[in-house]
Amino acid sequence: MNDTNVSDRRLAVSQPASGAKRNRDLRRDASLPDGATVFPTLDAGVTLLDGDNRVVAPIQSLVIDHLLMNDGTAFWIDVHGYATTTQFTRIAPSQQLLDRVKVARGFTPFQHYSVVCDLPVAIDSHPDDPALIVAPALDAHYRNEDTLATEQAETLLGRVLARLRRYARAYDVPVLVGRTTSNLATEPIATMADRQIHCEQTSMGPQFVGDEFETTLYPVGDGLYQTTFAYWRALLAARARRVGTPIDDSQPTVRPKAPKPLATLQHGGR
Amino acid sequence: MSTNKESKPWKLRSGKIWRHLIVAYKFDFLDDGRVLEWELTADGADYTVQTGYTPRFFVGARSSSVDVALEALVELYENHPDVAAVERLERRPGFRRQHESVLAIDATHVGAVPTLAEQARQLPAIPIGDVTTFNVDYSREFRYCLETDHDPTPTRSPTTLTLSVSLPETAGEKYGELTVGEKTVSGDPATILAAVQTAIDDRDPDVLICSSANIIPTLYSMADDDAIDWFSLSRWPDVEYQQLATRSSYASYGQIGHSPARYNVPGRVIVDCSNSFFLGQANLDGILDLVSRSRKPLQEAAWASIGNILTAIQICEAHSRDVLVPNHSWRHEQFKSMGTLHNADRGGFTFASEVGLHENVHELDFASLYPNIICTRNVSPDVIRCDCHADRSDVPELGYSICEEEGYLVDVLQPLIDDRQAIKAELRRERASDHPDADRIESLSGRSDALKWILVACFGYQGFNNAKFGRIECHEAINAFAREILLTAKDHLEAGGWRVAHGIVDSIWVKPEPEAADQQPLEEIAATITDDVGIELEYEGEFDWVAFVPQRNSDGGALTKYFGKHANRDEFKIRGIEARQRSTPPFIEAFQTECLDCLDRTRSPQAVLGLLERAIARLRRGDVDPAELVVRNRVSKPVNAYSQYTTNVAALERARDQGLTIHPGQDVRYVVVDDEKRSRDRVALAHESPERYDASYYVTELVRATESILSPVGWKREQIHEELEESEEVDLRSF
Repeated sequence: MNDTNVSDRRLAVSQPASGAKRNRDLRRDASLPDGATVFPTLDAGVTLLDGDNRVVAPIQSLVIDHLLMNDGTAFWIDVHGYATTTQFTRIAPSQQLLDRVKVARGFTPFQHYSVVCDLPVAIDSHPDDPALIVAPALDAHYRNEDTLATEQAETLLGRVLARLRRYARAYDVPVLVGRTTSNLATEPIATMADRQIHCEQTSMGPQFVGDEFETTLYPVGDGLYQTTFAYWRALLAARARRVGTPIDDSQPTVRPKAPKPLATLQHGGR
Repeated sequence: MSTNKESKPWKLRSGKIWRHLIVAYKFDFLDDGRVLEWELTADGADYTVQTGYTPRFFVGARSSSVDVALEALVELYENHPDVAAVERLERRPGFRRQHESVLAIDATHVGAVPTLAEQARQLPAIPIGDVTTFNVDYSREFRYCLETDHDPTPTRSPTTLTLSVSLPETAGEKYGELTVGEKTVSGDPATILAAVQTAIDDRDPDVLICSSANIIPTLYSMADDDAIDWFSLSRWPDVEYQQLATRSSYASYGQIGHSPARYNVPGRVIVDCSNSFFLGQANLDGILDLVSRSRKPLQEAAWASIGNILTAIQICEAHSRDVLVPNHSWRHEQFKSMGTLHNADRGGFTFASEVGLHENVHELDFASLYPNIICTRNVSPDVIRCDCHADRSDVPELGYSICEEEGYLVDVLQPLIDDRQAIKAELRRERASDHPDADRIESLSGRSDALKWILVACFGYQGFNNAKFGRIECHEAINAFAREILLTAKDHLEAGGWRVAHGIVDSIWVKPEPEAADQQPLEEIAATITDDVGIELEYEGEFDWVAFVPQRNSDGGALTKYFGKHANRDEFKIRGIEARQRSTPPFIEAFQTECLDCLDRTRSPQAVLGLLERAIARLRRGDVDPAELVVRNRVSKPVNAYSQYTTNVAALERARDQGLTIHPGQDVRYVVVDDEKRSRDRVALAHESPERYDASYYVTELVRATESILSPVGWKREQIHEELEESEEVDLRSF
């Protein structure tokens, strides 16, 4: 693990940055800043990422960011195509990252449960240490009454959550989880999590908000601010350069063109 | 006719299929647990009453790594009134697992199995996730054949009687007209019932082919209402008929499906034409072929889906290997890198087709590509990504290993491939003979078609979420091999001086490369490719021309839409366009075929447009028989599930007003009479024999059909309309 970088990042997160200073700095720094407060750090324990809609790109961005800053392999228990490689290759600055994520998909609640149960086998037989465990849309398979009676679905989901908590402790890694909707049935997922991050769709692009964290918005010139996925990709590429991960030629290394003006802001922030 | 042989209670169990199976073609399950086994005789059927049948299911650990205290379940089941016996046995809970200790639970009645199995999940001591139930959701007759070593293949050609009613007859609670065999009878219930009874008595049919299974209860209720006690369809005196399943909806592939109610008449097989995929896509001989392969008796095979049959064949294979069949598949895919997933997600192979009309085109097809990949490359769920060869990379692009041990799927599919090839060869011989036997040709075609569907499905099945035996890694591997094979073929063809104009899945179209000095004969190249990839590439033949149709809203090629004229024979090959679609009205179909002829003769879009103008004029003059304009659409969902007011909805509402029920899966046939209306008056149903039609609606359909023919040569709908408007102006001026 690269300790220096990790502590850098912690530092960045602990300084909620909404200031004009950062934006001024950014304006000067055409190559995009490292340690910018776009992505929250994933600490050990369980982090729940909620979102207004399907949080595919946000989850993938957090995973890529984490892998850039840490050694090891991410183990991803997938449902409903969250691990789409089309999206991943769009955001990831390096195709090498594709090989640092191991995925197994559960297409039914039965398979999903089994993947969760068998995760230690996969981790223990893998040569590299686990860097992260990812399990999006945990509730996805456990709310279809045609497949499982409600009580059985609750039991299975409960067992899945208990196992993920145990893995977080046993492997001392961050476990990043998600849910498709926030309601009474998915409340146990939030209860199990050590912390929550919300990914909001704002008129200026997606933004992560947590108890101790908030994505700052970045200027794209002409008084516009945004945090689009294209911008994230550029940011991740900048991050990759800083940590020495080779960047693919096909990936844009310059800041992407500004999108259509969404809103004109008088000052940085919301 | 029937004789009664009461037999002693018995129990037969074996992990292996017996060399000498007991023959019976139909099994009836009585409420008291007795089973009637029906065997065909020279002039009818004999039955045997069995009294000791106890269907069996199993409970075992979800995975060999889970330690489950099955004792708690022993107690639960031993005290259960519906359980005859509980014992511990050694079985393989999966193709990739060795023998493990499992519980075998014998139920007192075949109907009790699903409920009993469900109870295995309900003990707090053994929460869901620890145990799996096995051999649970088998259909009854199939289960019986497997468990008691019966072969359901009929020993002679079964005799049949067709009972059918027309759509308007289904409106009321009784029929006023019914077709029995070749004769249509009308009159009061007594007359109709007498006609049915006479046919039953005279012919003693083994199979009742019904336009809808609802005919059975309806006839009986007609007899009840008129206090007729002599009416009987049954071969067993004590039970007239049973309802096996009520009409239901189910979710499949994210779509809501609907299945009609099913009925059973002791001693006879009911085939419901509205509920039989294979009767529609093959024929009774095709279904009979599947009976002996799947061990699903005729009645169950007739209503089975492709997946049901394929699963049954695999269950037989599992059964012969002592392997249990999980009720739900808990087995998941192994972890793989996202890079592998990225490569695997690329799907089947397609060469971008060169939109346009190509002359001098040749087609080459790989015979049963996917099944042959499975068999030649040993792609089977039990051997893919095996632990014993984990360091090997056998699958291109994905790097998966494949065990050297032969996979069970090869054992399942190889006979199907071989037999279909033999049937096709026989078919060719019969057709080429001096006096071709039409019945034999029909029988062979039906068998070939039935097998084709199973072979076509075996690939998709591997990727299907709920497939008991499917495995996504197999699906990915088959695709990867297919891509490699198609690319290999392309390389050989290009080296031989040919250019690939289009390729999809297992077919390749080539034409001479203009730059190449000369072309190596395609038969030669095909033989080289066959040798190289180990799967036969057949030279299908030459086309004078082939046109690949662009997608409606882009210039890219629609992969599955094309048409062409065979060289040296007066025949077109058509795929994907209107003339090939079953919903297309006969008038439009005939028009499009005429356009093809015209294009073939003249190569002139203007000439085709001339045809269009004449067809439009005929329509507008009212010269077209409305019967030629009947749209035939399959209903996919109940009327209230449609979100837009389509012509289909109007037709369904209209049918409902007339008391007619058209269930999803059935056809609705109508003529569009006023497309502007947003009510049931938009259409008239075919049986109303409409005398008018909405000309402008059908003009749009004509233009659409013309666009399919002309878009490959650059004419889109807008240009066709412009051309029509210009000529109309000319017409007007000439008046």
